[in-house]
Amino acid sequence: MARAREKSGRRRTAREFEPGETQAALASFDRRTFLKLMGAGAALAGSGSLAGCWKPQPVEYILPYVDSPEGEVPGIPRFYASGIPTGGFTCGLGRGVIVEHHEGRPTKIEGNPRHPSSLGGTDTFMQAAILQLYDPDRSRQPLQGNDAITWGGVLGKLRQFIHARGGAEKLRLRLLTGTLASPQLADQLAQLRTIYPNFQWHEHEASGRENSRAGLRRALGRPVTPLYDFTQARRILSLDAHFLAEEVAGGCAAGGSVRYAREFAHHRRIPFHDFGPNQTHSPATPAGTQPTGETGLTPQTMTRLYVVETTPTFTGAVADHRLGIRPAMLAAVAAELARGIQGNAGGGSLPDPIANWVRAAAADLKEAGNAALVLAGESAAPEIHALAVAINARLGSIGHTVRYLEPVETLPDENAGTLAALTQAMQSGDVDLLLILDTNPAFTASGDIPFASTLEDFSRDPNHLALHLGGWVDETATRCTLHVPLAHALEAWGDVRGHDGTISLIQPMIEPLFSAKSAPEMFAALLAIGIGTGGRGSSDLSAGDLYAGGYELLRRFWTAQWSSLSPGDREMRWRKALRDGILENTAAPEAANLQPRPLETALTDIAALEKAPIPGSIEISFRPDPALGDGRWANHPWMQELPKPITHLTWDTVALLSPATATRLGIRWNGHDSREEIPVLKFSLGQAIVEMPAWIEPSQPEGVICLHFGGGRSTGGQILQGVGADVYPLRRQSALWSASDIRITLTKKRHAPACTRPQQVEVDRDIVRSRTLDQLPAQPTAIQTPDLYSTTTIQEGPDKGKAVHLSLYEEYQFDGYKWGMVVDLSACIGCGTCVIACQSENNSPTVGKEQVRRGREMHWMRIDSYQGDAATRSWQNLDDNPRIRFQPMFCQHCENAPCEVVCPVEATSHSDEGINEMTYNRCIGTRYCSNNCPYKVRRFNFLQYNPHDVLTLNMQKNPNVTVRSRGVMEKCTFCIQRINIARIDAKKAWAQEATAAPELRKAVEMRTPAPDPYFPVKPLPRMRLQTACQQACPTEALIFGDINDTAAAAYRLKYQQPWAAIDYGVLAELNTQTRTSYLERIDNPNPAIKKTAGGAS
Amino acid sequence: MSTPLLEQVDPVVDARYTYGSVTDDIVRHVRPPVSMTWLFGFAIAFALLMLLNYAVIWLLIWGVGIWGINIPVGWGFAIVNFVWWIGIGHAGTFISAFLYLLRQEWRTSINRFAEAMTLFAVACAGLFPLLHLGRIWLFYFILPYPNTMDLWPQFRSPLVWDVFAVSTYGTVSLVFWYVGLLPDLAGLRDRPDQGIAARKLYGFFSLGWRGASSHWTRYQKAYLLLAGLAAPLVISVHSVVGMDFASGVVPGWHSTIFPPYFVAGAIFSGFAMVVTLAVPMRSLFHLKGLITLRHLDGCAQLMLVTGCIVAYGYYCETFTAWYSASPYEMGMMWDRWFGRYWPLWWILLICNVLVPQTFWFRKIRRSPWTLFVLSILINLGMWLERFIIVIQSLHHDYLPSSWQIFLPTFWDYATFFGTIGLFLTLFLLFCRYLPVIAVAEMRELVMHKGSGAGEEEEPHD
Repeated sequence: MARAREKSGRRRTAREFEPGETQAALASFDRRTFLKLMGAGAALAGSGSLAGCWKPQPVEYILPYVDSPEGEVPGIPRFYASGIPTGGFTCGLGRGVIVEHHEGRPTKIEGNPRHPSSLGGTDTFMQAAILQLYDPDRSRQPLQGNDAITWGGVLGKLRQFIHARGGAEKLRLRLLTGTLASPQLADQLAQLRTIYPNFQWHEHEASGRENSRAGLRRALGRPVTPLYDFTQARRILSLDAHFLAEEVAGGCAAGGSVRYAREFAHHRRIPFHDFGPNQTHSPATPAGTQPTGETGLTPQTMTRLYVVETTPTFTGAVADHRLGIRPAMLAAVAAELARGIQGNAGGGSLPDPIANWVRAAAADLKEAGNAALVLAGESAAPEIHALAVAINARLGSIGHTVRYLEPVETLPDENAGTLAALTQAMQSGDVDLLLILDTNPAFTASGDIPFASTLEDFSRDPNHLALHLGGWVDETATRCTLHVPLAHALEAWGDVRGHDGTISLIQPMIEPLFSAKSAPEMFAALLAIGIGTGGRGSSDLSAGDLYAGGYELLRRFWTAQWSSLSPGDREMRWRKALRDGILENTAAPEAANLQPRPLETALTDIAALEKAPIPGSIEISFRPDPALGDGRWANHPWMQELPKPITHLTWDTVALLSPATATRLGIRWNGHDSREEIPVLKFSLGQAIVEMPAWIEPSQPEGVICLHFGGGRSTGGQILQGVGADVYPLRRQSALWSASDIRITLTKKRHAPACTRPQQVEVDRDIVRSRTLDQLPAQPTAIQTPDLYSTTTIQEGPDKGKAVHLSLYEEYQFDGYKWGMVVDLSACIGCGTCVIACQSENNSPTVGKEQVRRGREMHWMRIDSYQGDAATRSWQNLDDNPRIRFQPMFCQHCENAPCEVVCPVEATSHSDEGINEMTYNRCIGTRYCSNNCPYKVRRFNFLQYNPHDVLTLNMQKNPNVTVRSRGVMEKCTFCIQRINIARIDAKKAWAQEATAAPELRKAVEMRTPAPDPYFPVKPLPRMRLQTACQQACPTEALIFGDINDTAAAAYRLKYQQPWAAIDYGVLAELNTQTRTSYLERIDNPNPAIKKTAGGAS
Repeated sequence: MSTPLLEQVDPVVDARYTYGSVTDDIVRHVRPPVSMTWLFGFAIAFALLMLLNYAVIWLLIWGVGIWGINIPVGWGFAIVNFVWWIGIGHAGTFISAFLYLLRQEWRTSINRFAEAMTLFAVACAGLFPLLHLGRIWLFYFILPYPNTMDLWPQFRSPLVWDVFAVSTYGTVSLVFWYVGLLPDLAGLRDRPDQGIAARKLYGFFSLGWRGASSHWTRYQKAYLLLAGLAAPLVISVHSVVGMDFASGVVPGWHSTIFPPYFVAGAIFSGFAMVVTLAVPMRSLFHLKGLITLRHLDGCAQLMLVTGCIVAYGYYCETFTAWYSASPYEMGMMWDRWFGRYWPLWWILLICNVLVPQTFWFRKIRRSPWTLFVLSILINLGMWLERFIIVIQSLHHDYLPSSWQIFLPTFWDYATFFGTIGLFLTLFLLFCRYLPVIAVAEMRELVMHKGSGAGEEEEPHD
């Protein structure tokens, strides 16, 4: 039996493997042949894989967690609150931020909704701070000369030096910093004063607040910090005050620009939610304003802004009336304004059109009473600041639209604490040890302070020691004896105060990347050395603090501050502060018993300044570069490539001049184009000669050339090399902001600028729509802006009366989520924050000047601006004060997308939620989609723009967004990664709800479907999300949401009155049916000033 | 059968030609000793071809960013050259298919080299759509083939139509040309002055042609069918190329006149290229008796006709832009006439509108070297036309904020002149190794038209 089975089994085997056959096959395939074929196969595979050699693959390391941090789920980002000073490192006022973390890497910065200086919004600098952290050019180790030493080595040198100079008691110690607004550092400064009796602190900011401080002191008798309240202000007049922007640490906004912008914008638009002091974010479901169909806007309730400025800014661009004047006339304008408010206008030296303008404004302000606000900018003389205070006092605005707080920043001694005083002391040998913290005076000192050479001589002398604590080995560091890398605000412990004094704790988001030290650590070490070398010790300091860590120092400082609390409460307070990002109720108290000087006295003071400019002369005004600041952002590729708000120039600093001034200098100009080469002007003042390319800007006032400082740096990184020219040699202590004695000559040289939007007139196209308030009925019901080629009108439903386009095809029903965006042009201030936020969120590369010049910048989002009105055909039609209208432009997510039909490989397609999607892997790069896009919002990787071999830059990348390589088209995705994360969260919550026990159930918020036949949608869980641009926008100009959800802000703005009346699609006549629509800009001009929005006449 | 008057005064072939002499005259130039003239021409052509090589390798290393293209001008020289070359190809197909079907005898002496011109022009044209891709290594995504990536071409895109149109056109042109070559290849194989290698090669490619009546019967049927197949392609290919633009929304592209206007332009430029090649060739190879003034006259007349259609196209575009009252169309047109690229537009008007008007004059139509110069001008004009359509339209579209200038780079020029090198290299090799005039067809023509043809000797194949 068994044998039989075996036999049959063998037979079966034999059937399947005929012995002869198998052997024959094997015989014909001997070992040699096999190896030969294998070899040939491998060779073929090798040559075949050559096709895969197009991209060098980076070496990658995978480092698993040995000990996983508690609560860490790989792939799920975590968010931490912190604060960031305006300069990014230590100096400047703080703004609250929320930092996104991916597996221990901070990748993105958002505003902290709880922080009063942020309210959830950001500005370009806050957004850019994340890449500043990862700048591969940051200084990596302490240096002595060019030699690397250790932190211990630095401390040893210091101790040795202090000993040699006779100990802490005798040491003449000087400290030079930028603006300090940290309670901890202020405390340490005080301690330094105790331990080193010969200590002197100097403050230096190239764009500091000397004028406003002096002016306020003059007007109010003591130092205060102004705090504006734009929610109260209905009539605002700015005297060269660019209050919507943060001009580094100075400027009139002084840390508050983001909040001011939000407050200001809220009263310039048809509001869609309530705005109170506790208002944080634009809610997905605004509970506030109910759609009554009323705009809620009257000329009285809508803010009216007058801007008098000497160079165009975006604050001027959003004004109802912009007046461009020469700097020398600013005092006269201020005086005329004051006289107008007094009621005895006239008698000034102003030409009639300007005087009339000012009088009309003055009358309007006077009528508004305590709802009026006059601001003076940093470039205004102290007398003008004092006059502005007096005007506000006269109007009764103090306490309403402006309040004066006890100083928020730590203030230096009025005269002794300046850079000039320090330089003098160094020259006369009064300084032994100089510590420079987070400031770069060797570059930013004005021309009449020979700081760089003094420092060089100082360091050369072995009896002196200069120690630099800074982010880069920059112009100052190379002239110092010792250099220590400074920790970035994202990698150090500390604290900082916001514009109103509210304190944020700064917590590190990552270990210091390079062996960097924070300012408190440096100061603590200095204190410890002081004690060790005979300084008068204080109780809580010992020599052991030499190596005290930032955490320990900060804990100790705040424990001391909270000594009245129990240890438990202290701990709670500490934890809450870290979690919230702010210390509650720490705003600076209002300065009591202020006695503003009367207007009359202030007017008398200003009389000396009130002089007519010399006819025919050309004045120079100095301004920090809008993107590079005073030069500290010069090594930042995002900031270099951010198109500057008015000129749209990148990678440059230029001299701005009006066409008429250009003609006077012998420049012939016929409009800008992308490949032009512009002439170079030579500015000379004594020995100082600066050559700057001349950029003709129609909105620049006649007779004044604006020079932006911040460019022309030489040391400190690769990015800043060769960008712009250094203007500082032309500045003087006595003429920091303007000068009239600089010789200007036209050279034969040409310069190639990189301008992203050379064409800035609308050429009679209906692109940026705007209307004045009187053209907007209080209760608009019908669409007043019908699109061209409309063919039919909806008869019922919420869209009743809305014109729609006929299509050959049946319209797709988006019956789930339906994403849409509304851009409120009234709110957009053109600051460019969304551009940087998008770049940060979506891993967009920078491409460099040459590529920008070729028209290949990679921003998914851009701010278009048009000068003049819609009918302006060319720059020649522009008047002296052209209006500037901004329009954020990005993928419009057309429902009839022209890009989709022309892609041969279906790399761009429409999702069932209405998003025009890009599938990068499919894209073969025909670029037809870009050609066919009427909005030209698609961006193409013409070359390999994303470097994949710079480790620190890779760390910034958002892991949820593909890093695109060469040859691929890309564009705005409505932050699809955020949508998907929100979808997962919503689904999870829904599922939990369904499975949870009834007692554990918490309601999942459901969408409220649109109640009309056009959107037959079932309720779905509501997703909570904001796109990166929306979240970053300081003014909530971008509103994104599910437009199938009747409660969503985006739905209401698109479909409900009164917003729907001014909602329009750009190029709607192409029947692209864009998902992004724009609310027309509304202006509130003064009828007494004839020409709307910006005209002297 | 009386000879038409025109034939008497203006023969399509010199009446003195006989079977023998026509063969000898044509075949004399196949594999002659290398002449300095040929070598000189070939050296230049080959140098340009190497320039192409260099430019393409550089392109593959760095990407299309080496060219001057940008946003908004996403298509630059590559597409200009593509349309130009493919247009040039059209004359060959037009001559060999249309004129064959219409029994135009004068096509016979020019069809062979015109077809070769087509083939080489299509080869040059075909390079560009590949090279212009951002990721050339994935070009096959555009082909409908079964794959695991769930990838299928998007048939609404004119670029997909292009792939089919151009590849079909290339294939049919090759087959048509090759089929027509068969009797001549056999003839070359059979000539006693051939070396062994040449005989083997010609023999291999002549596919065993013996000249049997059955061969001739099938040959003529096949040729007729191929002519029938190729004829609609003349219309379709450039219509599709025209639709590449017409189906876009770009002002200056979005125009219904494009397909016919492109076809006319293609034939216009193609005949210009035929003349550009024929005039030097008939002098160098002493073929004046075979490519007569009658041929040049015919080409010039066709250029006149198509040139007028093209001029109408320009007029129509401008008129439509004005009549549309669309600010975008009018803005684009204003820019075309007076904007940044105005010199190119005006040169193109001179080349494409004024130059062909001279062909009303018989004297000009019959002066070869004048024609030669004018045909080069027309080629230039047609290249500029594509430049204007592709680049000028793109650089000035809807939103003024996105307007940018396109300026070509060295690599743009290198690639363009490189393909001229490729074309000339192929053409010079063709002249040297294959009969530039269809021998068999000429002999047939000589039999009908020549004096005393067939009386001296029998055809020997």
